[in-house]
Amino acid sequence: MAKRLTIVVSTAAERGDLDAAFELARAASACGVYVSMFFMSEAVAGLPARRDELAELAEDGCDLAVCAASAAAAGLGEADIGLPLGGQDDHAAMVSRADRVVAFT
Amino acid sequence: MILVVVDAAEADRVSEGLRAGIGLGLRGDDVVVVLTGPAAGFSQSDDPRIVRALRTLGELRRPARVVDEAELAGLLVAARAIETWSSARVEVRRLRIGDREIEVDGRRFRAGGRAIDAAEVVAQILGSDGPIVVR
Repeated sequence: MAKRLTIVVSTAAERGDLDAAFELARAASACGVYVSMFFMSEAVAGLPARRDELAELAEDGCDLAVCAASAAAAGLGEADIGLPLGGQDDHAAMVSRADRVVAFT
Repeated sequence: MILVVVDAAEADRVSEGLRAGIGLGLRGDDVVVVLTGPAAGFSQSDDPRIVRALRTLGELRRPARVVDEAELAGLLVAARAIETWSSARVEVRRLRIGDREIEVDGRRFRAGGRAIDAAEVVAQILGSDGPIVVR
């Protein structure tokens, strides 16, 4: 059975963690790993600029979720990010099911 | 056990880390939330977001505790997953995978003085028998 890797990102794009997270997610997905990603807090503001990468990861089968409260705080909606908004329950589910968690928080 | 380590120096980050600690318990997992380093002082904060989050964790019967480095080391070994909410000012990210350490600089990864690609990092992550610590 495929391993499950969950990546959590909460830091602003300038921090570089979104870059690292996307790189790891792409590599893991290419290896047949089931990848989940949860974005919250300051990371969410950096997502509109990464819509194409998010779409590619979703097409590759990655499970992507964005904290709705963080999006609202950043003045963003689903149309801005291109992903359905979720919440802390998605965060909990992704971490609960994961074989390994990498948290850029 | 899922371990949430809050060691940030900023109230915003501490508040968000505590909120994550509350949320991670929604699926019934055993979640431990600790304050350490610069965040330890926030255990007595009057920031309403932090007060509310600490109160909620207490009401859920898993109060956030202040721990020192020695106690934290024991918790890191016992955890199956770790979220470390650190200060936004930390410059170089480090992934600790078992006894190995990988430097993370955006899309670049280095270990033992050499560049490694993301696929190798993923292989090390999934091949490890313990949690990944990101500092």
